[in-house]
Amino acid sequence: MTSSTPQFARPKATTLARKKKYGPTERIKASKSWGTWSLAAVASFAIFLLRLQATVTPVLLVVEYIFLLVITAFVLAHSSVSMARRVGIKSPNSGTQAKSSLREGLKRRNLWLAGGGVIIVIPWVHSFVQRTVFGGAGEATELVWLAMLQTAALWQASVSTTARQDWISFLLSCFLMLFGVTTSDRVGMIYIVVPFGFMAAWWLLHQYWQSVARGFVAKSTVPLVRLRLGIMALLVCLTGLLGLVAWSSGGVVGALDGFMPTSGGKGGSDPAARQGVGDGDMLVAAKDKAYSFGPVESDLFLDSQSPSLYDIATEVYGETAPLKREYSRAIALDQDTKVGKDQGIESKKQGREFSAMRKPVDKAMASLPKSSSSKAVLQLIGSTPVHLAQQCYDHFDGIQWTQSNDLDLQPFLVTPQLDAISQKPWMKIANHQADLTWSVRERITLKVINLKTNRVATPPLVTHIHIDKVDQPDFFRWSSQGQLLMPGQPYIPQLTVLHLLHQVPCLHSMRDSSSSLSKIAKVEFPQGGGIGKDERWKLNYLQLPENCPDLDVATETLLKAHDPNLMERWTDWQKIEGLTDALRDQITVDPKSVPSEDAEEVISHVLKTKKAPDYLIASTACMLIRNLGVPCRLVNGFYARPERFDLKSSIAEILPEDLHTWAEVYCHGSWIPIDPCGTYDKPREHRTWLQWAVVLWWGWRDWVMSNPLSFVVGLVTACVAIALRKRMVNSMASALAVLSFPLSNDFRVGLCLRLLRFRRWIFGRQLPARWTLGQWLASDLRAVPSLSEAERQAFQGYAQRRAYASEISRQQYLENNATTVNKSTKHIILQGLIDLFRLG
Amino acid sequence: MPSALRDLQGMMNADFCPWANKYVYWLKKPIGWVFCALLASVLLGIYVSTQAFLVSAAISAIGIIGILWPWIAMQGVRGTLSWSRGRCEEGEPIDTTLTLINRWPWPAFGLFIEADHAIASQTSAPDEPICLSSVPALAESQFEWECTPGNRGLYPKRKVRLATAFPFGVWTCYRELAVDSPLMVWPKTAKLKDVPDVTGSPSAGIGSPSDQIGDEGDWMGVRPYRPGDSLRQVHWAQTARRDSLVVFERQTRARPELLLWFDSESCEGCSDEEVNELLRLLATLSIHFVSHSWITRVALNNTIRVLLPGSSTKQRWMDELASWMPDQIKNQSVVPPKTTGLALGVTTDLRLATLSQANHYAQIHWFAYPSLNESAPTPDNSNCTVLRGEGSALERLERVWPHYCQHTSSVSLALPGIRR
Repeated sequence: MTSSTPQFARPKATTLARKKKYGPTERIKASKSWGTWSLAAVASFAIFLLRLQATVTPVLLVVEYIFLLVITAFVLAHSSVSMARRVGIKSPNSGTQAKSSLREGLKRRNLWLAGGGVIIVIPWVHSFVQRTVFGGAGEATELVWLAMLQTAALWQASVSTTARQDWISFLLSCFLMLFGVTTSDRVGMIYIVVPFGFMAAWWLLHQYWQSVARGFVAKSTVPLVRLRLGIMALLVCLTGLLGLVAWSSGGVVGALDGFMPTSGGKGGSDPAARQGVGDGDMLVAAKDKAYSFGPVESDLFLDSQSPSLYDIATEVYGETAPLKREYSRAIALDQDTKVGKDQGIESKKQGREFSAMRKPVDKAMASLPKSSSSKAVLQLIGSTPVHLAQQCYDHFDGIQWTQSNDLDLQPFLVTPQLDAISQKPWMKIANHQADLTWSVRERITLKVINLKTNRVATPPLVTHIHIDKVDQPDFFRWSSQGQLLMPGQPYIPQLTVLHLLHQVPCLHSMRDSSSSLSKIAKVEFPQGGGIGKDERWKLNYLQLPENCPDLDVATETLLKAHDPNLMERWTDWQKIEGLTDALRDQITVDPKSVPSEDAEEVISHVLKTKKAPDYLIASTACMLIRNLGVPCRLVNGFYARPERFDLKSSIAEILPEDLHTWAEVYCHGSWIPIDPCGTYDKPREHRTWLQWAVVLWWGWRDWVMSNPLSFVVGLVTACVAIALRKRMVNSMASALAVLSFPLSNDFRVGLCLRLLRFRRWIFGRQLPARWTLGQWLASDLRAVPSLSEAERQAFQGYAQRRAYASEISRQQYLENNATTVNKSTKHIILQGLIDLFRLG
Repeated sequence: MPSALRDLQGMMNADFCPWANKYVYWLKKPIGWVFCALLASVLLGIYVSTQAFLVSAAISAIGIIGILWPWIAMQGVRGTLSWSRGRCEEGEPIDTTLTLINRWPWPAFGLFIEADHAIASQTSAPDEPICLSSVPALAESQFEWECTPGNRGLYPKRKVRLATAFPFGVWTCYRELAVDSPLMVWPKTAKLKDVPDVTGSPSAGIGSPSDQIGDEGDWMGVRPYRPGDSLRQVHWAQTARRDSLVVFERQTRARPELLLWFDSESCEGCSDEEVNELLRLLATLSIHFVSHSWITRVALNNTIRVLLPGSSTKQRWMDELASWMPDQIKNQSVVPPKTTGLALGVTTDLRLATLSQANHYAQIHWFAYPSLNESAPTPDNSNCTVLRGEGSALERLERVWPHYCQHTSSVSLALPGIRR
């Protein structure tokens, strides 16, 4: 038989080599562990539960299961005891003993094999008995096979003598558990799987640890103080950095934004998020909480005393100065007619006019809206700063901005249409040219607190709007002036939450003269003969007042003062930017600097006095840009300040004093905001990393050109510092060591030794491992030329006694050589300071 | 074990498709099992029951932790291996130090060293690999153990790597260790108790220094020129006076001389251990005679070296023997020079018959290491000693050496052309 299958016979040498290769896991275990058996028992319990569901003889099954557990546990305990006895007594060092041990092992293995053969068939016998004695179909065949496998796993666990055999039992147990989980429909199975998972992990850990534990060698440890200090410094830096991130991004909640699940209000919501993290959607939409808000249809709010934009403008910018009117004739009207006319005029005034001629504000806002305890007009969740447009104007007569009656931009704007995003009804309200905008949309959420208007405050380049539960596109409409409003509502209900998506402009394409977007001023001013029918409306945005000062001169003056370089090569957008920057630089925002009430127009005042309120600066910017042939409009709205961002709630409040006026330039189908007021941040634009690098480079270059002396001095200093960095560190260490002069000689000698070692380390002179203290001191003290021979010997002698000799001998030596040792330490410490200035 | 079971075991362990091992070797490792289990549980989760995904998650967690933990731990550990001495003999314990620096602020657990078994095991437990329970955080730790290299050579013979698979043993990560300076393990030598009774050069015995050529020894007189003498030795004044070349005569050395011949060709077909045994014999004989101040000429691999008494000679020679590999064997083209001193050789019994037929080997007494083939014929020749018996070759040599020394007389050696 053996000769018939020689190809299966494995050479002995190869087997031995394999055993060596696999290391300790292959060797016979020194002791039995119950871990493998416990795993097999848990897995077999899962199979037992499966069988219990199907069996007609549960009692018999329980008896069988308990019998299997008991018999395998007994075998395990017995073999544990016998193995411990063998390990304790026998050491097969002689050939005879080894042979007898091997013989015993073989006998035992045969016994185990026979026992295993018997015990494994017990489930089959049980099934057979069930069928024959109790009738019926018995257990399903696959369950019987599975039960036999379960028995095999238990038996293998109890008789295994090597780590590899343990592994077989472990894998069998894992398979059984996997099968049990997969086929069982009991939820309770999870209570078996989870402990089994932990046990399996622990078993793996224990198995690995056992494989290495017998070869442990002794160790001695020296802590790396320098490294520990470095780690501590790193931790401090990291903590500081994290603190900075947390501080700059709105607290811990802000810092963890996107990492922790949010309960909503920031672009998504997670049902697993806990209450109180950020402002949840539920909180925002007032579904649960009374103190929250939403589209609440409560009478309480319908009669609120919320101010309109007109009211706020009056409060913030001051009363409109009375216009000089020339009456040729006065007609008396009856009482009713007069009242009606007044209301109409007031309504028109509030919505469609904005006077640039106002009385100066001489006091802080005295009265605040009374309808709410909060001063806020709006609340905002989203990135700040942001310009929120509320009202825009096209026509300017030198003093007053008005909205033209004949202007209707609606045909050119996108009709709101339903666009589901994340299963929420969003209204798509605008499209913007892809080259002009960054594709990623940003989301802001606005809560109307105290503002009576039906116009939606919109960020630049808004594309979508969403109000919870509102899925009717006709709920929103563009006004004839291109402002989003809710046509069916007299005003947006108080505490309504508006979600808006907007895009950030990529302005670089307009700065690049080779780009197709660089040309903006298509309309020649002031002739409109060549303008197509679709672009006729642009003329309204190119209109200039008749009594306007010479804007060409003003433009040239501003640009030359801002940048003396020629402007011929500039693109339209660069000119606009140049003008805006010039205004930001040269015109100071001063709310009290208003033109006199008898002025014909306000632009001259701004250009002349170089200080004005923001609405006058914005008006001036508008006129200058229109003069370049680029459509431009004045925009009234709110400026969400970053400093109003509340770290705790991640909400920025917008107060009435945040009323702001700026300009918007029409570029390729979109209105791009510009802010000519230097005290406000510029509207955001998106830049690529490369563009940022270029901006930084040019900024740096400009600084270098304007401060050449500082640059040269800085450069030379940096070069010197880099070249002398090691010396400088050495000198700093020496300077610190100078502080030790009042201290004892013993301390200073120790300090000097550390200093000498530090010098070696900093200058990269490795200390040979086998050098004695005397050897390296002799070498290092030679590098201190100011040290005399006597001082050198005194220092070296004391250092050696400090290291090796007794306390008494050390003290005696110091008493005899105190002065010399003192001098030597001074020389050694001061050498570091001298080295800094040493040439070469 | 019954033969049927043995056959079954053989069949179960047979490698039926060895060509596939390079593709499926990972299945033999725990990580392969984890991967298979994960795959099975995911498939079961997709097609049978979603509850299996629970198992998938658990297996994934074990797999990810089992891979990432050791990998991260090893990123912070650097180490150097060094020995207390640069050289030692086979079987001689030597202190080994492993210096590890752990730069992580957490300790690394359950590491072991993967290196030559000879250096990565303790003398007290040669079957166990060197394992390190933990490497403390932010510290430099030194692990010391005593190892006993069993075979000659320059250690480490392969890369020494620090490894860990903690916590689950499913994936082992390695980090190469630096070695301060390699350890040279010389062949083991035995202490032989006697030397053959040979007192020096035969010429010293018969008092005839006049046939010596070369430049060895101090000047002691003049003699007529013989072919082979260097012109530098010509005594020009005497030459002019006698009108024939006269050279300085030198004194004869008093030290006895040995020619030790290693039959390199005997290594062909030998196992590594047999080659080592042959080299141990060679090392023992050479060092024994050098330590007794003999002038020893050793032939190894077509080169004859002269070993003079002194520690540096011994070190160079033993280093050479330690690193000599059987694959350096070349056909022996150099024939043994005629020697008036003692001539010994080391070979295997399989080569004795061949060597006894060659005339130029006739002066050599061979110490033959017995091959495993017991049926190898022993030539009926008193010119060889086959080291049979219990124990290692060195132990056998120690036993036969006194006997050999007793039968080797200086008289028989002193007479040219007469061998023992």
